[in-house]
Amino acid sequence: MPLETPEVARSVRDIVADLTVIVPAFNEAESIRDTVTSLMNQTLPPRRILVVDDCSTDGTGDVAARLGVEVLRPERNTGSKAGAQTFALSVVQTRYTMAIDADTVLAPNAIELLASVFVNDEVAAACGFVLPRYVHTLWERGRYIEYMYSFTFHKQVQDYYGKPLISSGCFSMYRTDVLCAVGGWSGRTMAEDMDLTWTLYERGWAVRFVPEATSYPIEPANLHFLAKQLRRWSHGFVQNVRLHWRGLLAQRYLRSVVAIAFFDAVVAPTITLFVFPLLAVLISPWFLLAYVIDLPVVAIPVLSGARRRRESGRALRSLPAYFALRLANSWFMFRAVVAELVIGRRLNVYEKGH
Amino acid sequence: MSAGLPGLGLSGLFILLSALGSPIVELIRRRRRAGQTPVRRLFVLSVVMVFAVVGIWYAILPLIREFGRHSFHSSGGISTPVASIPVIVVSLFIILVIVAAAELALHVVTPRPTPTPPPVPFRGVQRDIRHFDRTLPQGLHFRTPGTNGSGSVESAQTSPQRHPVSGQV
Repeated sequence: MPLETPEVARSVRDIVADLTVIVPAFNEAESIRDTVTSLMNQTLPPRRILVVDDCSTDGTGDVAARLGVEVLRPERNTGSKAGAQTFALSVVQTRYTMAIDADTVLAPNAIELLASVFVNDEVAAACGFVLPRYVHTLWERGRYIEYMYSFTFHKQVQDYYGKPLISSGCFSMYRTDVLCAVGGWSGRTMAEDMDLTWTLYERGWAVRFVPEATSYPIEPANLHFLAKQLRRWSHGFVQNVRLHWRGLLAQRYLRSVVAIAFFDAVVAPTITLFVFPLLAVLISPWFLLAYVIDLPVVAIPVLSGARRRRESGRALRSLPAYFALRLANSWFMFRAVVAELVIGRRLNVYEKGH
Repeated sequence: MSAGLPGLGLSGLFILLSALGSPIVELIRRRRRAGQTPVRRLFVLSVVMVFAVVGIWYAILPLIREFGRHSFHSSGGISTPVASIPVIVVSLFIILVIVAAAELALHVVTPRPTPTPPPVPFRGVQRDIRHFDRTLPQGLHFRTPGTNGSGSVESAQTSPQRHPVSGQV
């Protein structure tokens, strides 16, 4: 996406010159160097980079400090990514703030492109395209397809209607004064990015998705880390629907998106984990086709997006893994719905995955 | 679909319908001079996906008929006409019901902005935070505690216990 006019290009330069990037990090010594380097090598580098070393025990702070960025270290571990980010927010003096995970690297022009939507005064947050940095294991391949499908089609349509569902926490940019006014990133749910996005909508601000601005986080490579991540995401979604549903009623389009997503997320696990297998056993094994019946529908946007990135081979090889990941999603959502809505056992402890 | 959320495809179908409707929405926006957004790529993508959905249905229809002849009748539970209702029709009906329920809820339940945590002091140059309340239904406004007028984002969330519409605690 080329910046349209010299005036816009100048505005974007001004915006990035007034930008602080917050990198929350807990035991990220192996990945923090790549993250900071990618920030420093941007076509328009930010004014300030703040790494929050959230009481790491692996020397994350020292690695970051050697790279020449500011390192903040709270007295005690803040308990969550949201806590670390909000801790750093209190020292931000620039008009714009970006949050990026400590295992995420950016495409060289990502910040410049993302900043371009802030030329519009009504935009309070913006997020970019997300793709896994490594695509080797079953779960990474599944996530690659999931992201490609979601960001190539769903999020772009949502953005057209002015309501991207989430400004992704791993790479998003905000107006600092608005962010401060709503209390920063709240730890009251397990999905602080969804909470913040929906809060901004409720306050009347716009959120944008910029598909050309690409980020590459490290995704869970094994089931151990995937379980932690999916537990957070599934509980976070249920918690946010409970918290925000009355506020979302006033949001055209978004209320329909969330209502359908919630119904789908609540019903789908029961159907996919219990009903389909029962039908397959009791009536006919052909019912197992239901698990992959939407393959062409998923494959079309995925291959379209992959072709533009010259990754068609990777997409084709990864497609089967998506269906395994979808089953895992169902299992963790089933547990989250039962825990949060049926037996009232709320997830309050933030467990770091990736 | 959002990453990490399972689904039976209802979310996907809703987004697909949204994409199919984008040229009409764009036409309306252009008439109102409310901006121009290129929608051709998303629209073409959605049309191809619709063909894929139809193609799949016709590909598996013989299988479903086979189920109807052998399995459903012998199990005595589901009749052939019921079994042969296209899944897409059932899905569209469910989506319609959910969207209608959400619209209905807007008239039954008073929308209420979610309280936010206390603000974080901003150390930069302060500016007026304009408050957009155009997203609330007509007649509803966030209210600054202790005043009669519309408040700023900051003032609206400093009193989470106060009902933002009525002003009552």
